[in-house]
Amino acid sequence: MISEEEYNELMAAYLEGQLSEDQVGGLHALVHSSDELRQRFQADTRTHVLLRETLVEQAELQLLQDSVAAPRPIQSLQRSSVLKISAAILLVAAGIGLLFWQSPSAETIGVCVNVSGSSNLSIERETEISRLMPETMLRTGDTIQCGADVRAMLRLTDGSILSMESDSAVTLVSSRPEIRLDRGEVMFEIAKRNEGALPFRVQTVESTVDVMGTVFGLADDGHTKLEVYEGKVTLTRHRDNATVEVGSQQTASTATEQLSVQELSQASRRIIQLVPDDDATLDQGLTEAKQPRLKVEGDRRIVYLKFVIPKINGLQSAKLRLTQDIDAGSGTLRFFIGEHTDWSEDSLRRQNAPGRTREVARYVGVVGRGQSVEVDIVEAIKSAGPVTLIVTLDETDENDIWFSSREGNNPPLLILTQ
Amino acid sequence: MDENSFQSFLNITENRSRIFAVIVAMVRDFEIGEELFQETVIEILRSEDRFDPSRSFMPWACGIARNVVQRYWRGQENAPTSGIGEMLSDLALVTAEGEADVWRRERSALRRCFQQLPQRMQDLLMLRYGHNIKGQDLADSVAIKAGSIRTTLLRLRGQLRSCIQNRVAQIGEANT
Repeated sequence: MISEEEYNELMAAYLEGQLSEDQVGGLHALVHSSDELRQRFQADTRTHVLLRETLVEQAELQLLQDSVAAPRPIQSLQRSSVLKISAAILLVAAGIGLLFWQSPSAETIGVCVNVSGSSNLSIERETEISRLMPETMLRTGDTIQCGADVRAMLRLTDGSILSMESDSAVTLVSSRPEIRLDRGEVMFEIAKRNEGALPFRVQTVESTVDVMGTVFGLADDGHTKLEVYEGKVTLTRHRDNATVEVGSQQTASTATEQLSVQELSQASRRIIQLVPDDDATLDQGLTEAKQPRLKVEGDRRIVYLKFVIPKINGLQSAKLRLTQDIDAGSGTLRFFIGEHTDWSEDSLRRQNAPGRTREVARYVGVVGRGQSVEVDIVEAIKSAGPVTLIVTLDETDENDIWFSSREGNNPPLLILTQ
Repeated sequence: MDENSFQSFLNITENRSRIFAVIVAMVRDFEIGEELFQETVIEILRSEDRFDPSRSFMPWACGIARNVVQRYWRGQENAPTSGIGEMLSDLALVTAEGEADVWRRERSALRRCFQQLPQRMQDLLMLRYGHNIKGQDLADSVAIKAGSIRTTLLRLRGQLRSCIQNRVAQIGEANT
């Protein structure tokens, strides 16, 4: 006779996806052993699924309310089953010729996380054109246009980053995600795609780029020019269906008669992305290391990051990117060089923590849900070798901000451009 | 839209939760389940010509959902072995038994019952179910020991289940 406790233990593991193969057999036998247990199993799984359906709907509603009250970004990697299910049904319906069925509201696909420059940055949505501000949520169908002196950074819900250069324009075609580069130059940092997922797709007038996770630059000035900095990308030219695979530090252009791959020249931009070798939070002097989040809050919580810089000639910029996770907040984030690098995640304590020397960057304002904060800390990079960066937040009183750590989904990145 | 397509569309809408439940019960992850649900909807609409309208829609739709999951498993290194896959598939079909009305009534009751939970517990469920945060991440977010999270969730689901059953019973009595 099975005890209440045993059934509960099996169900808890089953619903959390933690059931071993032996336990699956045990649960299967139990469910078929009596009508009572069968009904109980049905009721438990029904509650589990209804909770998901109900609460993901609430989370989505909350997000929409936030965006109306004060535009905030969508949390990365979170998708509404409600929207996805509606989109699935209605997209398919459209595909089979349901012309009278009006398109559903477009799906949220990302957020504008950063804008720099003074000229116009616009968003065209359903024939209306308005100014694009940081933290504006982006939907499928939107076209983003950067003016002459403005750059923008967009983060998509799959975690990919699009850095748009001046005079560029992209259209967010679908939540696959599929992007159309309408003009100009955009740097793509594509989040690694799950096994079995469709590739991230970028369309230009002349070509299609499919990618499973990499960093590349794409420019369209009538022809497509692709530069791959990391990973591998498949480029297909539309007019002759020619396809090439472009690997790390290689380039290809549709302007040439023969679609071929060439090595990037020394003069080309080279981008290196570094994840910290060590990162930790000192919370009232106690170490929080190997946790998925880093936390900053006044004097109470201070973040320490250690990067090991490779030998680089002609460093142009060094951007530190931190991505908010779970807890949003506001205030002044300050970035300091640490006085030494003689610490690790395991050894960091109040007593041996590096002191702050020079402040090299500052960010003032709100850090919303899923937002990335990016600051240029090139002043901190003087030579190859380890460097400590210390991050503080002026605010206190529970106005703390959490960022993803190197163990989290969106680890801190130091993006070095040569 | 021809009549068959429209009927398929209505059938999917009516039974959305049960089809989704079959998929989730097999893959035991909401986000993967939602991706596969989309594929299932497409398969159902593509295959509507093969559906005999004189028969029940759900067993046919569940069969398609099972095929979609099994196709997904074939591409996964850590897919369950065939015997285990069969058992998960069978458990999934048990999940979807019953009437669509039961799901509708319980969904309505769940909203009320959820609001009666303490705020901290609502926050925990919102992170687990609204944002699909699990395990250690969830434990960190709510300052509960990782080992206690599963038990806490089990207890909360149990509370909600009792509340749902009471509310559904009260509504049933009021209507008779």
